[in-house]
Amino acid sequence: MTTLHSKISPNQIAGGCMLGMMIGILPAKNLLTAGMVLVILLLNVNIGSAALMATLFSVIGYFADPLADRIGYFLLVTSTGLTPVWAHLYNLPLIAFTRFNNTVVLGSFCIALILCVPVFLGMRWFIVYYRANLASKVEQWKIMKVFKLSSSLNLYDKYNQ
Amino acid sequence: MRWKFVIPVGLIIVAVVAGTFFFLDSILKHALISSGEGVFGAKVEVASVKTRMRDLSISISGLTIADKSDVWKNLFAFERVQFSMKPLPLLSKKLIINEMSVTGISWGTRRDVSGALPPKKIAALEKNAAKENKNSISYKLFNAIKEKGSKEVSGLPSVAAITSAQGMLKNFSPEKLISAADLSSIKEMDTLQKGVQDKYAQYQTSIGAINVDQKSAALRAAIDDVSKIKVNSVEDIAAAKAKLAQLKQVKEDTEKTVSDIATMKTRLTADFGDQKDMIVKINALKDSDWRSVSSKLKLPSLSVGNVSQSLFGPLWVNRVQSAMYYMHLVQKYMPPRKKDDTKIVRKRQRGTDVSFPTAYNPPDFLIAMMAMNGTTGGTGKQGEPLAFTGTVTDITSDPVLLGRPLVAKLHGTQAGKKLALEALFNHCIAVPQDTITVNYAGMNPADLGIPSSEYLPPFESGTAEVNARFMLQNDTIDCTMDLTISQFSLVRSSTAVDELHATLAKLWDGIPKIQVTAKTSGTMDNLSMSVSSNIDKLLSDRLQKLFGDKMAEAQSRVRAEIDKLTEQKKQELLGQFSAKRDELLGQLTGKQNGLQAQVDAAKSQASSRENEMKDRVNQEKNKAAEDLKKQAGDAVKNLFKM
Repeated sequence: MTTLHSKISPNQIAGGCMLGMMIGILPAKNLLTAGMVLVILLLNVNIGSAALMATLFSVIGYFADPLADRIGYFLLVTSTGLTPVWAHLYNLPLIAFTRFNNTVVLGSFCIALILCVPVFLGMRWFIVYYRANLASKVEQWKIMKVFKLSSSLNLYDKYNQ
Repeated sequence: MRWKFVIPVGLIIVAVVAGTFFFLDSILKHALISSGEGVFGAKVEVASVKTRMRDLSISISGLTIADKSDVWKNLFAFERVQFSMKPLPLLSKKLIINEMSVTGISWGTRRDVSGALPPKKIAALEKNAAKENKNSISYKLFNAIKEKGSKEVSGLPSVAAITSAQGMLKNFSPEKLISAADLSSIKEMDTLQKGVQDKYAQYQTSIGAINVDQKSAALRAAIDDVSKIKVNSVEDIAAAKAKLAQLKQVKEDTEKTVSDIATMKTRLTADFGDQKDMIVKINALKDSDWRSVSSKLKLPSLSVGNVSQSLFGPLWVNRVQSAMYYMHLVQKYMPPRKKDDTKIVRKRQRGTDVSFPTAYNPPDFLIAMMAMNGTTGGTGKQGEPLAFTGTVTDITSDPVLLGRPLVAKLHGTQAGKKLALEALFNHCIAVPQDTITVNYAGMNPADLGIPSSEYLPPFESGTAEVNARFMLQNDTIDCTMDLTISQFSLVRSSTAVDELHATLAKLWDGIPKIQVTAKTSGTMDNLSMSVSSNIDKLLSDRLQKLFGDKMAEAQSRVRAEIDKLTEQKKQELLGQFSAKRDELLGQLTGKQNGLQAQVDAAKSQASSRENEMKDRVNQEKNKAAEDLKKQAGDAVKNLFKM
């Protein structure tokens, strides 16, 4: 809510949401997730929204595991045409640490890739719409007034500058 | 780009790498303990782990693995394990070790602290084990052997049970134990007796319903009527015929009654049965009572054939299970696959791992050669230890890619003792074959791990030799063991609890050698197991002599008491049975015979009357013919006179 009412650009927030979604949906403990975290830290995207989306999508990702497993199994096992690609990647240095050869990891990665564009565009549209039509109304809520009086928003704005 | 974050992020990464580097030994130690406990299901301890980045070597000291089936013993202990890894394959997550040295191996050594895992960890391991592939052949066979062993290797009755049974038998009074009211045979005989009475009453009613007197009177009247017939002329014949027809009808009706009586006799004989059938029934009831009373006495049974199976069977089942456990582990971590498979699919807790073996790349895990040495001795072991050396080659996650089987060889010889172990786990061929052969001569029988028994006290000294072979090919196992124990002496208890224990202690006197042959073979659905020994007959005879006679005596006393209590009832039942049966048969036979005699008389009367009528008819015919002749002669004479 604070992020929505801040001056951070919609692209930064939507980018953070997109990368956070990818981290959340991917199983932990692999090089891909670590790489994503690094990208979030280094790119000028909103970290708060990334963290929120990572938390949210880690729950969704857990329930999406069976679907991810099926997608990954199709790509790794059933599709024999892709086998030479996977075999090449499997023996490349460091790539094995991404655990791409696990059906759930690869399937989740594919789901995350498919969701990237809709999540980014959807979040950007929502933020623009919210700021134009809803923000002034929400500002009138008592809870927002109380929240604004506290120092947390100032701190957050300062941190996000 | 968030440039102000580059330096902090870089610093964090450096800190993580440095932390990992400094704490790598602890991390590795923790990982080693955790994975080891997962595999062996018991405590794994590591004294220290030292890594050296220069040559990527790791040195593990004081590695002990507890035995989950005996938590106060170590399954294996290693003084030192040392190896170095190839750096480049590590970047592709492949662990390639050209040479590993394992020194100071020992097994079955005593532990000072329990090797049991905390219950929480055991529960977690069991949860993981539940997800394990239970369809693997080795897993199924492992369980089939476990089941077969528990089913077939039954223990001998405890000496305490026999002693108490003997004590009980000494003061045993069958008269007090068995009461007529409790015997099911007496109750059953009462039921049988009632059944006889019911049948008797039923047949009496049926016999009463046959109105023999009425039938008899009707037949007599018909006979009288026929006997009064006088055939003086041809005109009388028509009236006689009518009477004869009436007699015939009454006779047929009576014959039907005679036939009904005969049928009833047959049914009665079948319903009541023979007396010897009744005796068989009564004896079966008495046997049932005898078994029931004997079970109340809790008399232990001692089968002649199961002595060596009971004494050495658990040892054999345990050895086969151990061999199958190791074969199961090898099959789990070195799974066989087809040569032309381009993918290896392994189910994991989350998803499935797919690896892509290629001929020009090494397998994910390989220990090309492992040199080892150790001793058969150690803490808690008796006798002179035997030092051995050996090698294991080609331990790999993908034997097909490597193209070579895992081969293990251990050898040790020292002052009359010899240990030779060879193992071949060949998963490179179409039908995988795992074989372990062991020859261990000159060992102390106490180290054999024969479960202690009141029948076989612990070995004090002696020489044992074991020749064993365990083979698993596809779903078929073939395991054999020859065990010879010679020049042995047993630990003698200084204070025998009672006469029986004292006698048992002498059971093995004069036996120079124990030779046991054990065999387990077949598939998981058709597994056969046998344990035999040269002392089977000898021990059986001795044990039978000790217990068998007294058991037999007690059981015959029980039988005599049951006989005594049931005899009167039995005679009463048999007497009543015979009397009622014979009485009914007599009544039926009397009635049958009486009616039959009258039927016969009727037949004779009818026949004689019929003959008489025929004679009369013939006479009349002849007379008419004569008259005709005479009239014809007279007519001819008159004709010529004219």
